[in-house]
Amino acid sequence: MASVKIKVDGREIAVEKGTNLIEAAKNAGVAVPHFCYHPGLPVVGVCRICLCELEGRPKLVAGCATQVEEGMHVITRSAKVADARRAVMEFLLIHHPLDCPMCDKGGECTLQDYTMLMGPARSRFKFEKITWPEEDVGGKLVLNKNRCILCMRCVNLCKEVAGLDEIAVLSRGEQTYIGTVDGRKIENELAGNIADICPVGALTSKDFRFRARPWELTNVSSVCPHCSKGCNITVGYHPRRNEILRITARTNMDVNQWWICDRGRGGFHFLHDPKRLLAPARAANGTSRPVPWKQAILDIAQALRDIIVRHGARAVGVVGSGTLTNEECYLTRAVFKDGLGVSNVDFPPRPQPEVAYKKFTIEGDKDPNARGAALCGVAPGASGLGVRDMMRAAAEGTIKALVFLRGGPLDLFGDPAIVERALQKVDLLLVVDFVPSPVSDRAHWVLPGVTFAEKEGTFTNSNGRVQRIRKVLTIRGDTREDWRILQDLGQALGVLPVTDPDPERIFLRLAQAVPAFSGLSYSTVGELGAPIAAATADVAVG
Amino acid sequence: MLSPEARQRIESLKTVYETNQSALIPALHVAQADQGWLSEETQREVASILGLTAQAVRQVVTFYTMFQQKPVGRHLIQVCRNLSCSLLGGQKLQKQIQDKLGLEDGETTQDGRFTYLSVECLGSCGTAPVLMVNDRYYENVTPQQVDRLLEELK
Ligand code: SF4
Ligand code: SF4
Ligand code: FES
Repeated sequence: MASVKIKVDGREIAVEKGTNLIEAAKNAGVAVPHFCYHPGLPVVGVCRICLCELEGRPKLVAGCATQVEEGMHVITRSAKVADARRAVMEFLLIHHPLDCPMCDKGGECTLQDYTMLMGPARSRFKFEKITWPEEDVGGKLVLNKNRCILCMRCVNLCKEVAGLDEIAVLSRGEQTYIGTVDGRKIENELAGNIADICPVGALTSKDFRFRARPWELTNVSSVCPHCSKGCNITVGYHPRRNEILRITARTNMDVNQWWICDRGRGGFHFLHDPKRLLAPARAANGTSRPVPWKQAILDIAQALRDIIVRHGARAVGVVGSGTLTNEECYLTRAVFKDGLGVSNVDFPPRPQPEVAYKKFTIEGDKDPNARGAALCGVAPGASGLGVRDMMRAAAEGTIKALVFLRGGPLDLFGDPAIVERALQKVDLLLVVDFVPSPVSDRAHWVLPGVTFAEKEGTFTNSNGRVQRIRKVLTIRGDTREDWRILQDLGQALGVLPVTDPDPERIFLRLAQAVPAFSGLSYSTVGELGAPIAAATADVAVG
Repeated sequence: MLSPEARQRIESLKTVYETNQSALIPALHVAQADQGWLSEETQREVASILGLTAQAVRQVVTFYTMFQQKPVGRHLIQVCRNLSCSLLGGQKLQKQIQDKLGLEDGETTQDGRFTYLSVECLGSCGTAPVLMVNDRYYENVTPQQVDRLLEELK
């Protein structure tokens, strides 16, 4: 792309042709304030806070709606600009309530920040302010029109990203407001993004509002575990309460741009499910009793060994999971396939209809790491059985031990009647999971694993991009990271000569063993992920 | 329900403009002339003939004060409440009319004779204060003129 030379506040830089002044100034390290402009939305130029001066031109221009031209000198810090911006702020604040302390956006509000930065500290508006009641507009959002500055970001998010005309600018003049039509609600599953991009406290998330102040949260970069797209997210964690309070979109231009879907946004409540599995347990004769980890691991290894000695490795079936990390999938293969010689190793796909919006698709594959699981070798070995066949074989009695690294509803694994029979019939049923399920309800042994927010690791998304998830919080109770459980089992079974103290080192081992991951490490994966080796991308390891 | 003639005219407007969105304002004029005002149902009919969303139609209807969202009286009085008019006595005219007719903003007299509305800019600042009765402009309006007007309009 052709580039042009410009000056921003005296500093010369070269920027791509077609760049607007806000982005150009950013390249020069100068922040131009903006409310309505968003790089992912059409330029509407309505808020006027981005006014800049151009040398030699009498009138100020909107930085968002003006493109660079060769030789242009953009001035963002003159008295003229400061005056104009202060006037814009005064207008924006005319009807705005002065109650930041009781607004949910307080602390991360652009209007508040700009007022502190450059706005007039007092209002000259002596008349009655227009007020509106709060309103549920759907999309898990609450609308407080008193705070709205009519930037149109919400309207354009629905229109341009979701492709649905669900919220509109209505009426005109000082009566102008944002609203839905005919009492309908916002229904698109991208609406939660509005809470991220509304520059003020006008549209806030029902799920998060008034649960905490933003500065109380520790923000951790992670990856959404709810489909194979692998959207980058920021997990807002409240350290004192040891609780996750929200998930917001984290920009990654190669994956999700600026957005995430509402399933990902709201998909953390299961973490705090009171029914979570919190201690290893042995079930016999209809009762379940907790067993210390060490004992549990030894007993399970013993039982598994006995079955292999008596019936061979063909009598074991291992149901892995596309929700486990690459590291864990690698260990699944290392322990069961390479170590014990089990070839019945597989994981069940969890397909659902894909939802394709105008500029964002929620993928149909509900596993965040199906691609990684397959690449790491969680797939049947030579003459090994897939999940459904394993269930049949177990129901017929040829498979004697079933290991589920995640449970689920019976029909996830095959015809529910057959699965039911399989689970009843096997001599050993081990389930590793973090919540009870119909499978764990029938297990002889249950080991409590953890969720994506309680461990380190990586997922490989449907595009072959390897991205890191982070340990955000500690769950009370006697749970253990799944990679630890797999290593413990491998050790007790005598098939894992060395173990690693953390997933970062497991990953290095994996990168050596699986060609697709060769050359990758946590530092090359970084904050935004890295693609698997293209040439080997689709060669699964058997 | 729009009359068959009105429907026909809106249909034919579709061929006049490059996009149906552009045909919206003329179409709404046709619909309003047909029905006297634009109910939500009428707006939906227009939307469906033009293949637009209900939102797209509502934004336009609520923006232009010439489109009525409630049934109106025989004489629709619209007084500008914007800056120039306010500075030159528009607010006094508003109060005068409201007091005389006993109407809140947007109300219609029992006998269906008058509807009163205060509106944003009528686009005639140079001759402020300005008011409109149905399609007719009254400029540089004085309180005496208003009194006379309210008498004359039956
Ligand atoms: S609700 Fe928020 S995003 Fe929507 S127009 Fe108002 S300020 Fe902008
Ligand atoms: S699209 Fe998929 S990965 Fe992205 S937020 Fe939604 S569920 Fe999560
Ligand atoms: S950011 Fe330029 S007008 Fe709003």
